Amino acid sequence: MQFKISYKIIATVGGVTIAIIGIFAYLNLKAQKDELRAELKRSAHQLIETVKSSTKYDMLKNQTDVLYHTINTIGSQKGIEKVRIFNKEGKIIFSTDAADIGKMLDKKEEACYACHAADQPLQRLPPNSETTRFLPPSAPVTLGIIDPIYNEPSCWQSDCHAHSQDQEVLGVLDITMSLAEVNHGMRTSKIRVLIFAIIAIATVSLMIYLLINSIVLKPVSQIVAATQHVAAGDLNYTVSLKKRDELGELANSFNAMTRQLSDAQRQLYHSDKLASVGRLAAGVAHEINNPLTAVLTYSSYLLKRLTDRAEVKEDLEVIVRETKRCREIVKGLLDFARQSTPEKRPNDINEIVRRAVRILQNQFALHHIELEQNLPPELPLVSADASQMQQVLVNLFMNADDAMGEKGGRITVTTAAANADITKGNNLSSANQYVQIKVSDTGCGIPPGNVSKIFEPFFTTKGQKGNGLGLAMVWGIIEKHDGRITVESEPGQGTTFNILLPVDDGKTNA
Amino acid sequence: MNRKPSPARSNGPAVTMERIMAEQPKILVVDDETVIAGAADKILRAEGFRVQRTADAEMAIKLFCSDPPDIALVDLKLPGLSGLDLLKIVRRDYPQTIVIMMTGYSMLDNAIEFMKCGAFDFIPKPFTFEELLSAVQRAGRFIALRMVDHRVGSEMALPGRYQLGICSWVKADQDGTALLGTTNLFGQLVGRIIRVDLPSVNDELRQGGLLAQMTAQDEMKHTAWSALSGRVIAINGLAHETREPPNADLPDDSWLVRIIPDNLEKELMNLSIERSR
Repeated sequence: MQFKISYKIIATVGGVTIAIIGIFAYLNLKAQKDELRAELKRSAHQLIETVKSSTKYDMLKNQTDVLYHTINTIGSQKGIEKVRIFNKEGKIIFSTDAADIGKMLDKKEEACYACHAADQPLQRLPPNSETTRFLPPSAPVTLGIIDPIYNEPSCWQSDCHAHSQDQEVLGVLDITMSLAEVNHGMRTSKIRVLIFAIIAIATVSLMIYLLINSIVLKPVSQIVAATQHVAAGDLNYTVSLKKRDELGELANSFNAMTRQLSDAQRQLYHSDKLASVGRLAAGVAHEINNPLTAVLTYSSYLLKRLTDRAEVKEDLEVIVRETKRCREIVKGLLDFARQSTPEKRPNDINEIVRRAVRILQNQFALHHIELEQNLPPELPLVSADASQMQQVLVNLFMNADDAMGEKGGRITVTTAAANADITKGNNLSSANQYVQIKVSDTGCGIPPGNVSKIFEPFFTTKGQKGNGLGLAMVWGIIEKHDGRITVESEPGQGTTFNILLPVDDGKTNA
Repeated sequence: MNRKPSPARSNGPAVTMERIMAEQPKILVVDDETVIAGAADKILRAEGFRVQRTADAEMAIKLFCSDPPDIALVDLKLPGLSGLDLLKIVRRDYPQTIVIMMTGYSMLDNAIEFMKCGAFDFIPKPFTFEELLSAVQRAGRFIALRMVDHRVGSEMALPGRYQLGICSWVKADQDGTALLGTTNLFGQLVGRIIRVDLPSVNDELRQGGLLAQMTAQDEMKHTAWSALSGRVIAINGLAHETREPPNADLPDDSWLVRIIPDNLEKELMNLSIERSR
């Protein structure tokens, strides 16, 4: 999956690079070719003028051997394939290539086209008409140029009388130039452009790959690894991406998500545990009560009757005692499972706090506990069962009292309207408003290992004094109020319980 | 309840009542759990009671028609008509019969309902031989008392007090706490008390759960049920002592424990200020 993204991007960008470089190279080469050809044409024209002017004198003198020598000299120059002269009928009178001499030209071919394009040959070439031709047209290797030699008075007045006065065109001078050098130059350019394109594409692709790798692939693979960890159940795994881009944001929100998931899971796990303990308790009680009754009645009856046999009596006492213990365990479970559904009403939480405080006032004084109340007026009403919430607060106060021992300490109870941060931090929907209730003490605190367990049923550090159901019940009550309870503790410093209760939305019965 | 000392008290109640009763009361045990019905049957018979037993309410009603028992020991869970239905029928048609309900601990709410419907007492399962016998003994003594004074058990509760059956009461205090105690009648039925076991401070009480255990002179332990749920914040120190004679100045029905009620308003609805007996 991660390869596909980079390959796709590299293929796309590479393709675009190829296209751009291709078009650029094509235009560049075309311009270069045109330039070279134009240059060549110019030099061809220049050459033919040179040939004409340098041979004119010899022509007039009719010194053909000198003429041919001159032409041959010119024709042997580099870049000139051949120089030919043919008469009006197309017969090659002279050529630097001796094999051509005497041959007839096809008027439709080669250099004749300038005048012989129509059926009736032109007597005179119109000015600016094209006298050059690249041959063969598809992949030219030569440039042909013609120049008709017109009759002039000096020609027919010459001593040799080779030409009469009525002749318009005496012959045609034709030079064929090689394009080898031009083509070679073009080929070199093409190869250069190709190499440039390959290097450019390779460089761009490499850059893109490295860029994608560091910006996208590595962070993505980190996030993928994190999702796998989370999928495998490790909800404490976090992605450590220190990036400020979208992926960094993704990693942050991923972390937030797992944190919330983990909270929600813990919450769910706890409710499940409470619910199943309740169900189990009810089931066990029902099943176990009857057999336990039979054991208890018969054993206690036997104990009553057997007054004379001390050793049997002792054993029976054990049976009765232990059966009673079973009964107490079942009873504890059932008391816990019995938690009733709250009767929620709009209530002033401060009033409930004050009531709970009033109940414990004497005890606090007795235990040297200083109580600080921060109860701001005009808090929104909460939707709560007053007596159950009072139970919760009394429970928390008593726990705080226990935690502070004989030397006493300070309990602080604070109520406040919960802001959005607190709500969000506790994984609650921000659509509802909440009131926060904080109960802090300066007691012995909770060891870090125990913090996650304190709301579990039957967890107690009070030994025989507690049944381990007090905070589980508190938790159950808050849960049934659609609220949240969390605990923070610093061993030796104290403990703070934090409760969030939903604000009354007007739907509960007044 | 009025304060004049009852004759039972001055003479030692158990002796008097047993003398009054011509014969041991007749008991009907209604429970489909044969092992429990059997145990109750065997134990009560051994204690000198006349015992009959049946597994369902319909059969029990037939037995009532032919010869109504003095005391009916009824389990809540019965095939067909429930124990509660049977209780209501008996209270309506045979008001002279005393009904003691047997319940599981999970049925604490039902227990409160039984008391409201006129049950004399209830015994949570699993129970000991003593718990069974003490309840039956008190019932027997109640019948004996009723022979002397037919109004017994039908008096109004004292002002401000709410009663759980004839056994215990609660009085809400101004400061949000509540006082719990046992009735004078309960004390009379128990007889001369030599020891009172009370919960300790911080214990959680349940409405219908254990409030106090009173040991009578004959070593029989009698259980009084709490009329309210809540956390114990104080106990009456004097109540721990033997009531008679060292603490004779302490009224029989003085409070035993002070609690922080869990749900005062709701739970008071389960109680009555007037006895229909």
